[in-house]
Amino acid sequence: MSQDDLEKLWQQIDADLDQDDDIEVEDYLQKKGFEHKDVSSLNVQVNHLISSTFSETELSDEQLHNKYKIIEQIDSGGQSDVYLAERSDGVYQQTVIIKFISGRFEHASLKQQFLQEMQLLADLRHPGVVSIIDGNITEAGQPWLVLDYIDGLHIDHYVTRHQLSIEDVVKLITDLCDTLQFVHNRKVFHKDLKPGNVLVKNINGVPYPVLIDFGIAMQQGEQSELTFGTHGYSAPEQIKGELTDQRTDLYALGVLFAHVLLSSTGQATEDTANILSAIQKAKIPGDLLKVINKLTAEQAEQRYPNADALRSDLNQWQMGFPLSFDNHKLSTVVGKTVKRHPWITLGLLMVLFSSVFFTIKYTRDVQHLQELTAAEKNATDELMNFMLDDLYESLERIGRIDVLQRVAEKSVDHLGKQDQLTMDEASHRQAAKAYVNTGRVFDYLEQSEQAQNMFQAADKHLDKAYLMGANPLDYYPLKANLKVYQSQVLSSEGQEQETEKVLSEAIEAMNQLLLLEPDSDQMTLWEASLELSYQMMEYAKQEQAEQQVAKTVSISTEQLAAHPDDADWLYANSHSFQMKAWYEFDFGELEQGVKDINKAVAFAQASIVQDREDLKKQNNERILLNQLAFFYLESKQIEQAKAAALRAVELGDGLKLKAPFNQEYEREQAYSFSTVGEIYQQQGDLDSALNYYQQGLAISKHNYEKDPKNYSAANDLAVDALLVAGLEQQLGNVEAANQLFVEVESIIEQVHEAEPNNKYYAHTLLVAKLHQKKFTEARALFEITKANDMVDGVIEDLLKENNLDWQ
Amino acid sequence: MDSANLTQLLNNKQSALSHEQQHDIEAVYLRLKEIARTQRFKIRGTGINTTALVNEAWLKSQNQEKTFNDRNHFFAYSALAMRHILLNEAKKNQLITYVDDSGFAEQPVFKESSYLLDLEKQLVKLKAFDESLERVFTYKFFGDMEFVDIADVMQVSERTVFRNWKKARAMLAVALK
Repeated sequence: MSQDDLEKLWQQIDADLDQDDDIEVEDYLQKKGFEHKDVSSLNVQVNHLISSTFSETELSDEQLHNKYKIIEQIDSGGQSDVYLAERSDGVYQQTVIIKFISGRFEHASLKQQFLQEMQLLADLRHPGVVSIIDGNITEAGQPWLVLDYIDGLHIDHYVTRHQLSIEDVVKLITDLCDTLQFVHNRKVFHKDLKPGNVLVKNINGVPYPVLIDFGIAMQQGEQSELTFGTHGYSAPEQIKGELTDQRTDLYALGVLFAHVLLSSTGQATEDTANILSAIQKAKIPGDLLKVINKLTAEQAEQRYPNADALRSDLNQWQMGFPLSFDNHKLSTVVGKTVKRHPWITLGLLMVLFSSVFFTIKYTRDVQHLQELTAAEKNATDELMNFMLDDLYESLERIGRIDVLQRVAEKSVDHLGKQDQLTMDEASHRQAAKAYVNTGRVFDYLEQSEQAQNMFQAADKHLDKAYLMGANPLDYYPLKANLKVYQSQVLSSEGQEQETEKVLSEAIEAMNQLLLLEPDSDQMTLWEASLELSYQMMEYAKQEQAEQQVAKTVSISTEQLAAHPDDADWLYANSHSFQMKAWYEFDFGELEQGVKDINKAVAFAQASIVQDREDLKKQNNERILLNQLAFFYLESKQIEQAKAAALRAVELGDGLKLKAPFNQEYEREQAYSFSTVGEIYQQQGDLDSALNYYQQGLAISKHNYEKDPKNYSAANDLAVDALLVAGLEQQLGNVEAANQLFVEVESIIEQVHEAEPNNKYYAHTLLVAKLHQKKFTEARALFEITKANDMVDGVIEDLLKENNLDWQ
Repeated sequence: MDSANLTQLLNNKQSALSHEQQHDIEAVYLRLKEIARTQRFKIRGTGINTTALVNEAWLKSQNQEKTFNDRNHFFAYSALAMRHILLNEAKKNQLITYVDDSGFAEQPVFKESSYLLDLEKQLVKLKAFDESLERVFTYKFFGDMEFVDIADVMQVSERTVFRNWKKARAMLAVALK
């Protein structure tokens, strides 16, 4: 419309209304047939504009303004204004939610209260709870919060979109139970549970519910009367304004459960007030309806007492067991039992008589089992807790794992008696832990077959626990740990592929865990990586070994940087560098190896400074010194080697006083003695050499006498005896030498017969035979040793000495 | 919008306010904002009602400084202030879309801003056509004043005010896009 046309129109309106000022504007415009817009009320026309103008949601606070850039408003009105924002201070990129809460906190006491509550929520670190990143009160007194942005759908939309089955829905609800129990334990109540406050995010294809929108600042004090919750979801006591607790949340969870079940079965109702009546008529499993009714009982006392109780019933349901409220009813027990054992149903159909018999029998069995379970569970828990507590760690610290053998054997016995059918997720997890610990003890005591069995049993229980919905934050660390222990046994048995497989499983489990919870302890990841490096080195896969070594060193170095005074990471780092040194040794960079093993010693010492009580760490330093001596010897630095070996002897003496019964320590001490002896021998100080060799021999003898069936101890004895005998020979004590050779031969002969494939035993026996000039027998052993690539200087010298041209 | 902006806005000829009155309008604006906050909190989800805002602002102003001795004049200033405040906000919203096109144009706030800017354009024309129509409309629409009070401020009869309100509404209704 042109300016002129408009002016003419206006003049006409002016004249018309002058003529008749009683006429209504709407009627007049209609009658004249003018196209027009509504201009009756400002509050109607620009309602949103007014709200946005007058609400205090500009980023007035500098702290906020400098850090975040608003992308869009995603919700407004009610208790808060919610914005999607991006961190814009250039530190890193992160999408967040900024929430301005209505109501102001001008008084210091209210501010204090708000901040305290924020702290409370900030302490609720759980994967099922949205985390608080930042928050404060603006100068004008308006509280704001910055929250993690959860990229997910509301639970009901998720269920519809992904067409989840009833079983999947129950799984989600059990996850929610975990979260609620966690929150409730800290005396925080959500008070506004509803589908809009539960987002489901996808973690590697596994849906996981996250609670958002805690009624912050609405928990106590002035604003509390405003916490009405949401119509249809609020428990009666909440509506009446009476005291609320965790059962108020459980009521809302019941309504939510009902709503989500209705959604998953395509029976959803729009009216939130109608959910509970709709669910009564809906086609859902009867037990779940009972659960919902129990959750939404009018009286709080009639509901589940807490989220754990609900979770336990849902677990029972998942496994087809009777639920808490009807496990005493014969019919339910029979029904459930039949369901779990379909072959009985077959029997029922075939012969009526036998059906009656079986039904009664099974009913009794189930009841009997339940009674037994209660008693058994107590005993189990006690024993397992004993096993699981830091007993292992403590004993390892004082070098006395051996005392755990009896406990381990008892534990196996006990675990074997557990009835798998009666176990829930938690007891499977407990059993897995117990098996893992038992396996560790057996492994430490070098009973590898036993250990392997334990680990396999642990694996089975752990997988069951996972199937029953174990918390991934519990499951993954345990899985990773287990796989690392398994790899240690497998690799000592020389199972190359199996070892690599379990180690990559361990690493995979840790990666999953770190995805879920980036702050998790990375020790197990490091251990797996370390084992894998050794594995690659053992099988001479140089390129892979190099990469894996670098990875391992970087994990422990990074973690140490993050926890600079942490004794365990210092210890880990010493192992990383030790391994790096061996890699360098294996692949011909001896000089770098010497440097790195020196670094390892330094880290080992630093770890002892942080944790003086731990003998394991002290033993570590001693072992490293032994190895350092070896490295120096290889690089012909005799004096340095001597210093290191003597220091190792000194540390070993100290350890012997602290842990006199530890065989492993003694063996290592014997090794120190022979190294020092070897050094003196090279330097021509034969008396000193003999002295040290004999000390080493004494230990080996002692160890062998204590455990004559231990082949490795026998071999140690033989090796030490050969050293002494060789030296006696050199000193001209031919008789003493010959006597020793005979002894060694008789010991090691038996060992070699028992384990003909062991290259070390074959090597030792070969040396003994050569010394005694039994060349025919030696020849066969030489071929074995050559095939094993074990022909060393000692053998070469002996061949030369006897003019043998076998090479 | 801060007080400086408001001063600038009120500082043009059409408002013709004294320095003192401008100062008072700033105070009114701040008070309106403050009241808006508590109001929003009282009536959750329903947005802000400008009438209630202005009324409450008046009550509060009575307890404090007494520049606006005349209640009707206070309301008249408030209406004017409201018109400027909202206009300014609408302009700002319009600007945002040039910078950022993340679906903001679909939001009600943006649509309302366009509506208000269009209304402002027509109001300028209306003032040229007949200033008294524009004033009546401003007082009633932006300040939600009673006809009798507008009559008092403008020194005309209530019937004239009522007729002018109808005229202005009809004219703007047909003029708006």
